[in-house]
Amino acid sequence: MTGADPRSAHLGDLLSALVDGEMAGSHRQEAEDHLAGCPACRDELAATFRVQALVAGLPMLDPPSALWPGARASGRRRGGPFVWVGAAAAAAALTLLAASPPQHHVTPQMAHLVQDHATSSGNDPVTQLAPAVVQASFRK
Amino acid sequence: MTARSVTLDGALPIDGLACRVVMAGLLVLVLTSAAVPPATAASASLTAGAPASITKAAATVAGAAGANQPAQSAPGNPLDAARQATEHTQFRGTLSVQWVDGRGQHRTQLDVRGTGTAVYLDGPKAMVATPDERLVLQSTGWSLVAVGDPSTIGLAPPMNGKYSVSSQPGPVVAGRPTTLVDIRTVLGTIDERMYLDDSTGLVLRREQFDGGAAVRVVAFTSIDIGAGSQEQAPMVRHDDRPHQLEPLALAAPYRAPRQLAAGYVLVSVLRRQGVVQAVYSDAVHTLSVFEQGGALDAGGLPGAGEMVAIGAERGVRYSWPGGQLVTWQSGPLMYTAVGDGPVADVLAVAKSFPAAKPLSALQRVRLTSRRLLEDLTGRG
Repeated sequence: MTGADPRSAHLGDLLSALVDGEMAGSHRQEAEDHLAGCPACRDELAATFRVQALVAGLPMLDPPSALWPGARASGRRRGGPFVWVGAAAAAAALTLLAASPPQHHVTPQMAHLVQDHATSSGNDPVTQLAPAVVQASFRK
Repeated sequence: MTARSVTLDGALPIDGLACRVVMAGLLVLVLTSAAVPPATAASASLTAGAPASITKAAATVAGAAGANQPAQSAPGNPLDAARQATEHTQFRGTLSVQWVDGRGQHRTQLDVRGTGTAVYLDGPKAMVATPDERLVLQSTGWSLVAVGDPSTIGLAPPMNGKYSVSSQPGPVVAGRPTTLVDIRTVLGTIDERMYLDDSTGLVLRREQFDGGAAVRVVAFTSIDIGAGSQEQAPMVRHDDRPHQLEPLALAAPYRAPRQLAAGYVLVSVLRRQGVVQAVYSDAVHTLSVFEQGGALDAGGLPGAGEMVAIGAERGVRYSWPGGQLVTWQSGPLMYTAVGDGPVADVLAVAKSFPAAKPLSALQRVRLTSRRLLEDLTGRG
């Protein structure tokens, strides 16, 4: 038996985890193995790095020094901290809405899911794990 | 994806007032959403690896999942006895694995040995099972992928809700006398047949049926009881265990209903790398429903599948050596059900899983803030 063709499934969300340095151990190794054989995922990874570098390179902007007195005065006039809480929530909501990732096209990592399923069962380990040790092939 | 990376890296091009405003807003949103899954004792103790706290978390999960079910498996579940026998017997043998799928019959052999503290299964994907852990051999060493103690996984429903068990003297298997145990559905259909070693209780042969026909046979062709060394489980190089979640705290759009079709009840909810795994049992078979954000890339699926209807959605079904796999899309999530029961049961479970609704703008904000908080606190 041979394993499922790693090129039959793309990394999808895992690319983000890879860029963020959130993947470790065997999962990172397997992702890197997949990248070695998948031009599409390599392209997407490169694009991800480019965008990250672009955003990180944007200049830091300080608020105008005249802003604080005016903002404090405005806050006192309009109800104090409650206005700020509302404004903060709205700003955070907009930020998060803009930051929420669009839906990616992903393919289930079937061999991994089968392994995760088989190892999650508390049944007799020999007869329960043996089919997963065989390793599934989902190709024709 | 990229925006999340930027946020986590702390590289947002804002500073001072704007940053404080956004962070304060984040705090407000998180507090008002009240849906951040609280870290169970298991989540909190993952790095510490404290089995006692994991057990406590599992008890919480089982309690939440099984309010209308017994607190323990019914006595006499032959699978429980078999597991305990396997974990404590020293043996070495050759295992034959046969299965049937749409492409015909398949057969392969594996070397298996039990050391009294661990069971080694050698094959294309070598695994080790101890009473507490499941290890898988990767290219970089052994990975700890799951806890193996049933009390930490979750408790199965009673046998008598769906199955009946009978036993009688069995034939000689691999040169050893056995007791034959039949597990039938309440309708009388044979579901499983096990041949238990008379002296140790080991499962020497296990036949699984679908619609009365044998579809899978795992059997020792030779076994030497008492052989082998008393070696310990191998050194773990990577801890890839999933986090255990409380089902009631699972945030939208993820769901884990307590009960699904065909008598499957929830026993555990796990999460690994953003994929939620709801584990169900019908006392004999286990079924996992994996929930993953994203749109199913039908073009990337292997071609060996069969199109099936999952409610109003179209899904694709595959066979694997241990059972069935069905994948489909619903709302913002991609679902994959993996089970070792009959095809009809796995499909019935998939169809009974509630459809996910598209996320509203508010839910998107909450979901993103939750993910951000989880990432920051390490509760992935």
